[in-house]
This record gives sequence, structure tokens and C-alpha cells, in this order.
Amino acid sequence: MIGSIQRATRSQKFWLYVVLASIAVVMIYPFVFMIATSLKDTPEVFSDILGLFGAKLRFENYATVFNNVNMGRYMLNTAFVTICVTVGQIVTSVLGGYAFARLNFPGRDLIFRMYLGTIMIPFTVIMIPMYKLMLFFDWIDKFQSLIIPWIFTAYGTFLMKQFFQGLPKELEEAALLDGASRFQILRRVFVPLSGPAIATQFTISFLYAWNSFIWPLVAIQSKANYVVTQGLADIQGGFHAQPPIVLAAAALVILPTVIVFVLAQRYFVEGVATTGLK
Amino acid sequence: MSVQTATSSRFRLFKRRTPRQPMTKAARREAIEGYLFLLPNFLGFVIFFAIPLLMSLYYSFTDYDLFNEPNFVGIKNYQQAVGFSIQPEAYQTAVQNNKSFIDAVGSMIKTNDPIFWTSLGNTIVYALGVLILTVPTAFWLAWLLNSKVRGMVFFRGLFYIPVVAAIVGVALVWFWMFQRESGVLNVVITGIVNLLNGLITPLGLKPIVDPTIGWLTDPNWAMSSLIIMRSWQTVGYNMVIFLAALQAVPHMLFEAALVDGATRGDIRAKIVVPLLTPTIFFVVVTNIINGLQIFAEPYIMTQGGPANATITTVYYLYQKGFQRFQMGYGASLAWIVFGIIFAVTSVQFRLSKRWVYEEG
Amino acid sequence: MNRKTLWTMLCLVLIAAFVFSACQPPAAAPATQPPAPSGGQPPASPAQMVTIRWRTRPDNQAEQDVYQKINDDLAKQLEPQGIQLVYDPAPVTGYLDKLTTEYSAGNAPDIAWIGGADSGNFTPKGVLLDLKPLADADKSFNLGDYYDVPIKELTQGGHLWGLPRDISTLVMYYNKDMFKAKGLDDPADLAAKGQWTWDTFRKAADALTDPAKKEYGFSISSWWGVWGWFVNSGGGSLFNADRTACNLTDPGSIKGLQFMADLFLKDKVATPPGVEGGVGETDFHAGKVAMMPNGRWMTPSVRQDKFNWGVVEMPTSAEGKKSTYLFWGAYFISAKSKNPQQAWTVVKLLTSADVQAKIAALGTNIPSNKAQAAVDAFLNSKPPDDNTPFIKGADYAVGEAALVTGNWGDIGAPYQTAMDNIFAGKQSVADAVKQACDTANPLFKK
Repeated sequence: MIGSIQRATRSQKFWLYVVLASIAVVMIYPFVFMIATSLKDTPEVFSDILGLFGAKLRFENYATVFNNVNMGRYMLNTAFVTICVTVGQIVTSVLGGYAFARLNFPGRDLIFRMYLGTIMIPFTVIMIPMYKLMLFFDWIDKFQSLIIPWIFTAYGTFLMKQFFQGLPKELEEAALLDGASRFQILRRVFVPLSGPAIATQFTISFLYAWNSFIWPLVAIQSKANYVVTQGLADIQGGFHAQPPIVLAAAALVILPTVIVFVLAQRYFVEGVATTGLK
Repeated sequence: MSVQTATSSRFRLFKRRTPRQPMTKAARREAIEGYLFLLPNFLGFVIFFAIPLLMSLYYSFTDYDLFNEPNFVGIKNYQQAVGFSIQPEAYQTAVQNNKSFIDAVGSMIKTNDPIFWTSLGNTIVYALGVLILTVPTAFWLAWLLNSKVRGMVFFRGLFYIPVVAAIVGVALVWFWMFQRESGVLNVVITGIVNLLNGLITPLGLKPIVDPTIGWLTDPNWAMSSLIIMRSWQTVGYNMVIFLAALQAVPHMLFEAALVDGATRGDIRAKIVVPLLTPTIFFVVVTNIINGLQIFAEPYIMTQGGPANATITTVYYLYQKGFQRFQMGYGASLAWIVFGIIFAVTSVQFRLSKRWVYEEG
Repeated sequence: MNRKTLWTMLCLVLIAAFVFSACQPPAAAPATQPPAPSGGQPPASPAQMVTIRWRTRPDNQAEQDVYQKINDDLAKQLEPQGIQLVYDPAPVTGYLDKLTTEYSAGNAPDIAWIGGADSGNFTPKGVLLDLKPLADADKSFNLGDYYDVPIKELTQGGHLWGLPRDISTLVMYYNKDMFKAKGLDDPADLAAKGQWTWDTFRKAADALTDPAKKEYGFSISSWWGVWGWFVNSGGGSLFNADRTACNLTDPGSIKGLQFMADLFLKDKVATPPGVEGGVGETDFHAGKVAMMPNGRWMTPSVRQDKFNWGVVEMPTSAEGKKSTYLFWGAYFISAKSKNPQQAWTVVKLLTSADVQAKIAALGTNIPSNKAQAAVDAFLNSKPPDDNTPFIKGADYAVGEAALVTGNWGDIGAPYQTAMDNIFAGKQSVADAVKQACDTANPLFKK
């Protein structure tokens, strides 16, 4: 049934679908609006506000975006950075989370509480010192600045720690008795069981890396190394009075994450759910 | 282990240990392994987080203007941010002008930085607004989606899509939807108003006036608009967490309760909600932490306006520290924000002992 | 080993490769100048190239292409002189944030364009080079080549902070088709007869407003360039004469702002103003608004609009006072530039008459150089057919203030708040300006 207490009746099912469909419209409409507007002409945006399609579908707006900013190149850059950050974050979170969850070492709890504290600091505070640090390593305008500082993630470590703590101790004890090293245990026992948690971490890292815009704005200077959010900022600056072009660029930034999400929906949503509440 | 117990011990800085003993060989080995596993993570933390963080703490006690050597000024920045002075003369003047007692007291307190307090108020309103809009709605949606009916997975995915969209893109889309003259929202409202007027005017009732809201240009509405936009984006995330928690509730409890004669409402209120309190706690805490740090929306859409209606503390510290070259002051604001978030979270953890149900 | 492990190790290797690559010594810095022989003459040996990096803020790809071409042409000219010219544009969004970060860290471009009002925040901080010594030592340089207004701003305190790149005056763009449809006189004709005043302007806006069709006579973006014009036109000003106090409470300022408020709230001949740089402009492009004040930079996008349009000077006040703003931006040299002498050479070239003529052809701005070749190039950049309103305004314009007696961000904020409140009808003009001046006055450096 609704809320799964009893079996659903026909009429209850009907109303359920009606309500869910209405809410779905609200959730999805902004995206529909985005795409519809991106295919219109600027005057049509004002004369034909609710209409989904203008006189004709203007795919040339997307061509304008590509002619003005090298979105294709930016997408490649962003994909590269995102994958490296995501993999890096998963690796360090798994290792760190396991250390906090299962190993005893002096200062463990203190260090963990410090990690938790970092979630509460706004990024703008450390932006300037971080920039100076990047200069020191000579990573400005290189991908290193977009990847290496972000491999550490307090939130991810926290996530993994919680998850590992939920796994039964017996698993390890048996393996230890058999003479396995901790690393082997991690690799062969824990990691295979961590599907949902790793999937969650993957989503969070992927979205975080793909969608970040303040840091790349400051750290990356050459257009060849831009990421997609910078491309969008460029378009917004140059075409701020032409919504179709701006929204076409916005679509190019948003669609990849939506596509990735839709393809791997099962893992993401389940992963978020299971680890969120542990 | 629930979130709550994992972190409630954070108030004690040092873990109470058994009386000191030399570590056994196995324990030492374990400790070394612990450090090794933690190393990449910890290295990143120290180099890319702790160091910039300490630098910003240092800056908060200086007059750093981003370009020249910082000079130590003690707690002057903090005083400037939260300080205020009492002016008895202003009180007298207000009383003479027949103002109420509250107004008079209000005019007696002169804050050093009124915009800081405005930004704090805005930030709190924002965090609470998003919380109130999204948590009950997410819970209700999760309840609905928990039904054993076909298509629930489809809807679940659909509601999650706003969560994955980049904020820069989302902000631009909503910017155009919020336009006063030509935005979709106002056009729809006008349509509804006209429809209703078409129905009620023949009955002799006064027609409803079309409100034509300036979503982003009217100081009374600007913050609400940002709240609406952010709620739209977060409700899916909260919903998914609630849904998983709901799905973990064992069915046997329901069947037993129904057999005992409980109504659906009873079951929901007395069984389901209490079981879900740890999850509710997690959602509330994380939403508040995120809400108090809002920056991207004002940065992209309103730049803190109109009339400071959408200036939030993190945006204000960016403005002061970065755009106006008062980094010492900006850093102090950031640490004040951190202090507030830390305090609020700690209070929540303490209070949670009262209402969060925990398996014994 | 399974796929997941393989991918993990692959990326670990990649990451490691990056980390190691970062540990290599930084790429050899471009060959620097040999120490100057005593006497301070710049060495002339062309074998040692010096790199000069310069930056502007192009609004769109077309503008960037023009600057890139200028860079390439000048680069050929400068190579024999030992200068390698590199153009390093940055986008509009976050332009100043990026510059600020770079000045802070010491790796800013040698030359950067900064808008007039913003430059006042940078000049007192020591990050920009005072060009006066270089200018005084240079016999071929004549400061009088440029318009007075920006030069006055740039030479405050006996310094010379930068050379103006271009100027732009505030004019009234108008939709000729909408005027014709209502049978109204063309504002340009009225201006020629000296009849383009606050009164005739308001009447025209009234006649052009048709709320049922969502058409309005007038619209603005709410920024200091526009509400500042109202203040000046009424006889007031944003600051007092030596810029140590807020002057919005002056009766002239209040008169101007009241006229502005009435247009929006009483006569309702204007769409509510959009956020700066935003929607007021879009309404004009969509043909929904008949008149909009803006600078020359809007011309390239108006050229794409599908209606007949023109520009006219801003209306004269009831007392016969003509007023407009002169916006400007300049090239500034970084105080930490390794090659200030060469940077000076480049900046002079960039603001010379022929380079400015090339940029004027773009239509985005007006040359800051008074030479006839430059002016002609501008006048010939059509549409609009008649470019003279831009030039005429330069004679009586108030210059964009580079406020060095305070931080314009901090001081402008209460000003903008006052305007926001006036437009929203939340405060009367008198209350709003009093609050603005009360907040802003303590922030000026006396």
C-alpha cells in the first residue's frame, strides 16, 4: 500500500500516480524549460513564454556556444579532472575510512574529530592561502591544482568509516587468523562488500568535481585548460542578454551529469540511501 | 553504528584509555598500519587543508589587504563584526519621540557592522526555510514512494535529477524563470488569476489583483525565491535518504500492529516516525550545516541584493575579504561562521539524546 | 585481478605521475634583461627577448578576435625591439577576482585593463606601477593626446596610474519603430531643436507605455551609471567636491532621484529595473521597451536587433542642464612587472591613435585618443547612422570616479541599497538618501 502498510486499492493507486506525476512535473519542468528556451530565438522567449517550441528549433544556438567557447575541449578537460578526483577520493576514503573504523592508533579519535570539523569551513576562507600554495608548487593553470588538493575528502572518509563500522567484526577476525595482512583483508573482504558505499562516494565525488566553479575560475588561466563551468561563465558574460544561448550552454554543463546519473541510477540512489543513514 | 553514537563522544577531546601500558607488539603493528592507511588522506588534510586553514586564522588577527604585508591587530576584526556600543542619548531621543520601549532600546544599541547582522539573519532564515520546506515534504514523498506499486523506482530517479544538476546551470535557469515581466512563474500566476477572475466576477465578487511578483527584484521576495530554488534541488536528496530508512522498517511490525487494531495514522506516528528519528536527525544536521554556508546562489543570481535581502554571511565575507580587499576582516567572519555552525551542531547533538530513538 | 583494482591502480599511477611532474623544477623563466648599463638607458640588444603579457576583458568572441589580431600585428612590430607580446584575455565573470588573486600572489599580467571605478580600489594598494617617472622621461609621449576627463581621474595625487584605453558616454538608445508607430517625434529631431528635455522625455515615455501589450517607454539596469545620471542631471552629485563625503542628500541629487522614482512608481512608464547587467537590457532587445540609457558597449548587441534604432543625448534638465557620464577604463602596469620599461612601450602603442582606430571599428567603445584618425574611425562605425551623440556628450560629461578616498565597493553598497529601496517603494527618496549618507560617510578617508 501507500507507505506499504497494507495492500493498495485501485483508487489509491490512481491518486498516488496523480500526485507523483504532478510533483514530477514540478521537478522536471525547469529542465524542459531550459531545453525549450535554448532552441528558441531571443524575441520568442518574451513573446511565447509558455510555449515549448518556437517557430522552429534553433540548434544553431548550440553552434554559437561551440563557436564562442571551446566546449568540447572543456568537456574533455572536465571529464579527465573529474575521473581523477573521483578515483582519488574513493581510494583515500576507503583507506582512511578503514583505518578509522577498524584500526587502533594513538590520536585516532582526535584526528577524526578534526576531519569532521573541516566540513563546516566555507571554502572562500581558504581560497587565498590555497592559491598561494598552488603557486608554491607551480600548479597554477595546470590540472594538478584541480586534482591533487581535492583527493582528500573528510565527508568521504566519514562515509566509509560509518559503512565499515557496520560490517561484522567476525569477517576480519577469521581472515586475520588465517594470516592475511590488513591490506589483503581490505581488498578482498571489505571492498567487495562496499558496493553501495563506493557508489555513493562515486556520485558525490563526480558531482562535486564536475560542478565546481569557484576554484577553477581562480586557479586556471589558459582557455585550453578551462572546465565546463568556466565555459558557461564565459557565455553568461558575453551573451547575458540572450537567454537561449546562455541556457544552451547551461544544458551542455548539466546534461552529462544527468546522463551519467540516469545510466547508473540503480547504484547511486541505493548507495546514497544505505550509507546516508548508517 | 548510528551517526549519533559515532560522534557524540566528540565532546571529550581525549579518549579515556586504560592505564598506560607499553604497547604490545601486535598493537604497535596495528598502530603503524593505521598510520600507513591513513597517510594519503592525512597528508592531503595537512597540506591542503590544515595549512590554509591556519593561515586564514592568522589573517583574521591582522589587517591583511591581500597585497601588502599583514599587520597584527589583535581581535579588532572580531570586535568590528560582532561588537556594538550602547548610546544612552539615542534612547532618550527615542523616548522623547514617543517610540515604544522596544524601539527605544533598539535605537540605543548601535552595532558596529549592521550588514553582518543582516547577513546572519538572512542566512538563518535561509537555512530554516529550506529545512522546513524540504524535510516534511521529503518525508511525505518517501512515504508515498515506499508503496508496493509499480513505477516507484522510476519516480524515485526522476525526483533525484535536480540534485545532480550543477548549481551554476540551475541558477541561470531559475534566473530566467523568475523574471518579473516575462518569467514563466508570473505568467502562470497571471493565467491562474485570470481564470479565477473569469469564474468569480460573474458572481459579483471583486476580482483578484494579479500580484506580479518581482521574485528577484523585490526585497521582500528575493530570499524566498532562493529558498524555493534550493528546496527544489534538495528535496530529492533528502527523500532518497528517508526512503531507504523506511524500506528498512520491518514489515512484521506493521502486521502485528494492524492485528492489534492500530489505524494507519497510529502506525505512522507511533512506530514509523520514532524508528526514523536517527535518519531525521542526520538529514536535519546536514541540511543546516549546508544551509548556513550558502554562497553560490547569491553570487550568481543576486549579488546580495536587492537592498541586502539576499546577502548571506559567507557571501558577505567573500565580498569583504576578496572584492573589497579586507581579507583580515573576511577571515574573522569565516571563523565566526564556523563557530556558529559548530555551536549549532553541538547543541543539536546534545538535544538529540532526548528525541532520537536509539537501539539499546 | 579484477577490473576495479586495475582501474584503481591505473589512476593511482596517473596521480603519482602528476605529483612527480609537479616536483620538477619550474620551467626556465623567459630570458630576463641583462642589467641596465648605468645611466638607465634600456639595453637594445634584440637577442634577449622579454615577454610582456597583457590582458583585457572581451565581452564576446568577436571582441577577443579583434584584440588577438591587434596583438599579432603589434607582436611583429615589437619583435625587433626585443619584446615578445602575449595576449592573455580573461572572461567577464570573475575578471576582478582573478586579477585580485594574481596581484596578491605576484603573478599578474604585466599589463591589465581595469574599469575606472574599480581601479580606484587598486591604486592605493601599491599593486599598480606609478607611470609618472616613465612618462616624464619619455620625450615622445604627450599626455594631452587623450581626453581630459579620464586623465584627470588617472592623475590624482600627482601620479599617473595608467593610460586610458577607451571611453564611453551614456546615451539614450531608442527604438525608432515604436516611436513611429505612435506617431511621435523622433528624439533626435527634438534634440536638434533643443526640445529634448525631462518633460518631453517623460511625455514620450508615457505615450509609448501600453501595459496591456507589456510595452513600456523606458527601462534601465539598476547601476550607478544610470541612477548616478539622474543625481547629476538634477544638479547634485554622488560625492562632494573633494570626495570626502556622500552628497546624495543635496537638494539637486534628491530632485534628480525623485524624477527617477516618479517615472517608475508614479507615472509607471518604466519596467521595474533589473539586476545590473541583466534584464532591463533584454527587454530593450526584445522590442518591448522604447528607450534605454546605456554606454557604447551595448551597440554590438543592438546591431543584432530586428528593429530600427538610434541614439540621442540624454535629456536636458528643466534648468537647461545637460549631463551625462563618461565611462572609461585604462591599461595599468603591475608594480611587480619585471620589465616596466617594455610594458610602458606596449601600453603607449596600445593606446595610440591607429590601434584605437582598429578597435573603434568593432563598435564597442570610443577611442580615448583625441586624434582625428581615431575619432573618424569611430564616427564611421555604423549603425547607428549618427554617432555624434556619443562624442558630443564627452564635452559636458561627468567622469567615472576612481575613488581613492575610500573603497567604492563599501561606499557604493549603501548607495545601491538606497536605490533598491526607492525602486521597490520601500523608502521615500529623502529617507533612502539620508540612510545611505549616514552609512557611507564614516567610510571615506578624510
